Amino acid sequence: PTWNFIMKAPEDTKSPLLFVTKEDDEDQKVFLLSSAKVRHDGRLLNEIRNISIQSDVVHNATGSAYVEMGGTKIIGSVFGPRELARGEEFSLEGQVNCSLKFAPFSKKFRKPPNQEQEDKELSILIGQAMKAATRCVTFPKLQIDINLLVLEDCGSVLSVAVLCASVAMATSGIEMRDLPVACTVSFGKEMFLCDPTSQEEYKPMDYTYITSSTPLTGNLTSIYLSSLGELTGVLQKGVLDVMMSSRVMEVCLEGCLRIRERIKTFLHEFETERKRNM
Amino acid sequence: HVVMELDFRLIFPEEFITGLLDEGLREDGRATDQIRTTTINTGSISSADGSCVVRTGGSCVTCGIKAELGNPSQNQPKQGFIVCNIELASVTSSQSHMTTSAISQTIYDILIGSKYIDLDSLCVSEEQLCWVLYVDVMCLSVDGSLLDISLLSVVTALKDVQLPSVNIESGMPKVSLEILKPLSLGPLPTCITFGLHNKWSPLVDPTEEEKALCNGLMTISFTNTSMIAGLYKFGGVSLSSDSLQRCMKIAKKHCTTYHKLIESTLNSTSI
Repeated sequence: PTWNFIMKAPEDTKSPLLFVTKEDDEDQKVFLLSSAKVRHDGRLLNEIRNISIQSDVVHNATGSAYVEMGGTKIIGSVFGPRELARGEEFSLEGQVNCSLKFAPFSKKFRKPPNQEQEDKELSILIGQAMKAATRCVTFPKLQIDINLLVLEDCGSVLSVAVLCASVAMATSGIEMRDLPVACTVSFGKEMFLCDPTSQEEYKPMDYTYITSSTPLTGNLTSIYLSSLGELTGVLQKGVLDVMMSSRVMEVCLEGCLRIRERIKTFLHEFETERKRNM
Repeated sequence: HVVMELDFRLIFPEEFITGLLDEGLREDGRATDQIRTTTINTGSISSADGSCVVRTGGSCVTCGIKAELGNPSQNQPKQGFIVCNIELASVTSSQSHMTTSAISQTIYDILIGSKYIDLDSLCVSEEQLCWVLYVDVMCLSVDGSLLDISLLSVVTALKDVQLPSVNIESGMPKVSLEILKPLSLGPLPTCITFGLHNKWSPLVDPTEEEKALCNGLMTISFTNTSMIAGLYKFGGVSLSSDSLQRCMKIAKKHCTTYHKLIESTLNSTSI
């Protein structure tokens, strides 16, 4: 990465959070469910967080969107259809490229620029889901670029990123078969949490302080084309009891439908506003 | 005939803007020495130790600062570090005239040169431990004045940073989140960019399209103590010294506007 050559900085710096005394570390105090089945932010088990959507936020982009779901903030832009990148083969179907990036300051522990595994995994998943939902025959020999930037990760990044990409595509005028929506559910023994915050999310890698007392065993994200009733993407991490799997999937798809309603409301307002300004 | 105007703008954007500028007019109705309205918000990103979002015209940047602990270098055992990085390409998918590493370097030079950041104040324990401030500016939307608003977002985000107290106990750092202190900062620098052209008078705060039509750029930075913290002139257009003096006066006026804007933003958030 180029910044290493310009700015001299020590090679391995550490977050001050690693040296905090036990009493100060607030995450250890977060309880997942109270006895009244209420979550730490006051939601019920299958409740999604508040969603705030804005579009037309990136100058010169074909379509763009800025979405906040709880604390998770993602901005996305769509460029295209435009010429294929050099070296790519022509195809009778257009191509959809997706690139998701986490801002270095988006997580509790800084993400250095050379650590891109999570970025790439999500980019591929979202790219394939968006491609399945786009009418690629309408732009042969061309490509569409979807760029997503995660400004803050407070849980369920994949779901919010799909939401952001969908709104950006919807406002760009590119023909779609349907709008993908996604929802994440984290689960444990006899328990599931819809649209988890970062404290409620199951993460098998990363953090050095994974609390062993967590009852969570995994999480599941589904990317769903709600009008067509098709699933275009599923990502499950951790272990899921087969007996619980159908219930968890049900909760997931219910969450997807609720998010879809929210997109519909937004697009309706957007269209009304646009007609009024013409 | 309103429809014809829009069509002309769409098909011949360069001719449209050039035609206006030949008469001394700008598309958004500004005078050649006027800046656009700027809005600043701080503290919106809770995962960052300090953050700031700046919007002007169609441009938008977000600066996020993460503070980490590291070892001072052997050459400068009493200093901490600040690492500036501007990220342009991800959402905007654009190519800029000034490369992003050049902008990063300019911002770093202005921050250190103006003495806004005192690297000595970032040292926790000589030779053992110091703060490393990672300053990342993500450009979300580009419509000219990238350097101006990037610098603005960095200096404002630095004012938003609160660092926990660190002590060294038996060789290991011990951090307490109870006590948070802001950074000790010096005179506040901001900058203004001019688009230069052989026919037109210097255009303050050019939009991306205006910039493309100009033959050169000039950036002047002033601190809130009326000192020039940086002067960068790129491009082949020659400038008379009278012209330069005039530009400096204009730059000082607008930098003062930015300083006042930062102050009022910080005062309103601290209430």
